[in-house]
Amino acid sequence: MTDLNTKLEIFDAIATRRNERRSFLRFAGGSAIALGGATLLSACGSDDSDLAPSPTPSPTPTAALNDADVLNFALNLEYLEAQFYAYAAFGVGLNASLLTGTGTQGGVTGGAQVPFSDTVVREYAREIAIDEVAHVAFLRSALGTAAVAQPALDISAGTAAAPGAFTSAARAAGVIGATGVFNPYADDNSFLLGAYIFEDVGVSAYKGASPLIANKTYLEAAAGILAAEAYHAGLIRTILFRKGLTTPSLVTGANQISDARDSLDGTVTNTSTGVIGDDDQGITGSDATMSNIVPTDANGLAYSRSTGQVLNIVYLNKTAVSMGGFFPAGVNGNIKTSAANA
Amino acid sequence: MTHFTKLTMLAGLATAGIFAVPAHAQDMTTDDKPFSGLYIGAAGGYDVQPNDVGSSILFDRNGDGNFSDSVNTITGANAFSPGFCNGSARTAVPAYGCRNDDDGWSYYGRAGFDVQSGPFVVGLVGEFGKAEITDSVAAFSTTPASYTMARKLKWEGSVRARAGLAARNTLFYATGGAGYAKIDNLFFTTNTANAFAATGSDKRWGYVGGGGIEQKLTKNISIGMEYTYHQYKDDDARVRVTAGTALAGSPVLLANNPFVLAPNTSGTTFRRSDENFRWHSLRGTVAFRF
Repeated sequence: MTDLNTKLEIFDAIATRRNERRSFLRFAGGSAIALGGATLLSACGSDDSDLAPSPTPSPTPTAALNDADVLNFALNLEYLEAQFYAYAAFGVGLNASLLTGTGTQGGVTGGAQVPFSDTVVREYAREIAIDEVAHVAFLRSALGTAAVAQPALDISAGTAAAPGAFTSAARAAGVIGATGVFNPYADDNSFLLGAYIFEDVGVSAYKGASPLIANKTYLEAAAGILAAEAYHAGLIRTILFRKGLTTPSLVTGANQISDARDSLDGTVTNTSTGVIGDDDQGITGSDATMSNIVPTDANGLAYSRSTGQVLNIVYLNKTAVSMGGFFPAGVNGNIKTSAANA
Repeated sequence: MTHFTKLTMLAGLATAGIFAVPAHAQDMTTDDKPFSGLYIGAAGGYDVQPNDVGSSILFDRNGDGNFSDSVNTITGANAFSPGFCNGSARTAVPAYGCRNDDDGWSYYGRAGFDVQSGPFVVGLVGEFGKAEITDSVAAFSTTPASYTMARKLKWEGSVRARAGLAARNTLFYATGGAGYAKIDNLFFTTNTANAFAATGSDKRWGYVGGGGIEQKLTKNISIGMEYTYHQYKDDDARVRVTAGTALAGSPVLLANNPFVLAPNTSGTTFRRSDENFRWHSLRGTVAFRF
């Protein structure tokens, strides 16, 4: 019982609903093997180096993003979510075999099993954790040798003097005071708020990245992940609203986190004109008794975030930076810089 | 422009050499048939290629043997929209341009014999040597990456007839015959994702034709100047593009690579649009006549 795989075996029974996804994995893996055998010779002509092209001088033109870049961006986010939920639900992180790849591999700071008291919350956490680990495995399988390694992750509460990413996020949102410590592994409610920080980001990230995916096979797969993320976000928002009816601080905290995400991604409601410009919404409507479980625009469509806006939130920085927050050394891959929203 | 300058200089030197000595030469050669007999000699000069603007690389994506396909990205866009150039690519991107085809010096040895009857001279000459010339064409993909196919002359042998008219010790002649050359086909690319295999026969038959002037300086020594045009059909160079190791290990990259996109996932074949290796040669000659 020392690693996640062992614990996951307990829940194999519920994994049958993922058979279809796994069939796709086998299909994708099979084509790789078949073509691997067809690999031929490298370029020839070594005796005439005067004809060989030179390295392109700086500034080198930026290569267009390809599907692998986009899926690797998603993989970075899935590493973050999977580690958070795996620790929260099972008390262990991802198996080491799921962490390797290109770029700089990093460790995980923080993470602990939540002492759940509510069976519903515990079961939700377990289910989401298994899905997120499966997302990591799926993306790694699809990317194959092109998959990025897990970057360094900070999913810790830290201390008042040395706050972890969760505490920094909660302080910035106003969920806790400027010197408080937010530990998402402390109890059910803390876990729900911690999960809430990520969930809507995942939905908007996949929707925003969808136009960047050229291959329809992988676009459909990404749509499948987006739908799973939307289910996850919906259930976290639902249970926060339900518990918020008796514990109003949960609603307040969730709405503060939503506003903080808006502030980071540069889509803030204009307070002087009252024009709603935010891409993020809290879990209540015009008053605290009105739910807003599904954050959508006037057409009932979920919001999109650009890759830069997504990185603003996970880096906890509204400026154009390449590391910070939950990714203290940045993400791996070619999409790594947040947007300039300051 | 450089080539024209060099040619003009060569022609000037050769012409000056030929016409500066006749009075002196005539004193030394009073033979009735100054151009009859065996000779050995050497030739050297500068070889240039005609402009091959518009040449490109052609693609066979569907494996039907016809090189009339376009290589498209997963979205259907032309993967080679940056275009082609008639030289070797300097880098991966077209903005840095292409190197011109390499023209260069040539140096040959020759042996032959002539028979003279009155002013008429006919003969055979065999020649062997090489010229430092390379003919390239490059393609640029949107990757960005460049792909250069080059042909390089390693050596050339020819057997040519000569026929001409002698005016005392000066022979004006035309020449033509068969050539046999070793042409190396080379391939260079900045694409590191795919695997490339270049094939193509490297010994080709062709023809050589031209004309020249030969001037005897002494009973045994002659010099001259000669222009020849060389053409070899070089149409079977192919580059087979398949999934490289990096692609084969990544289903996503494999499914998006323009060279191995479905329905033909086995690969793509390149060939050059220009099927002939051609060049002009202007050489000075010197011979020892037995």
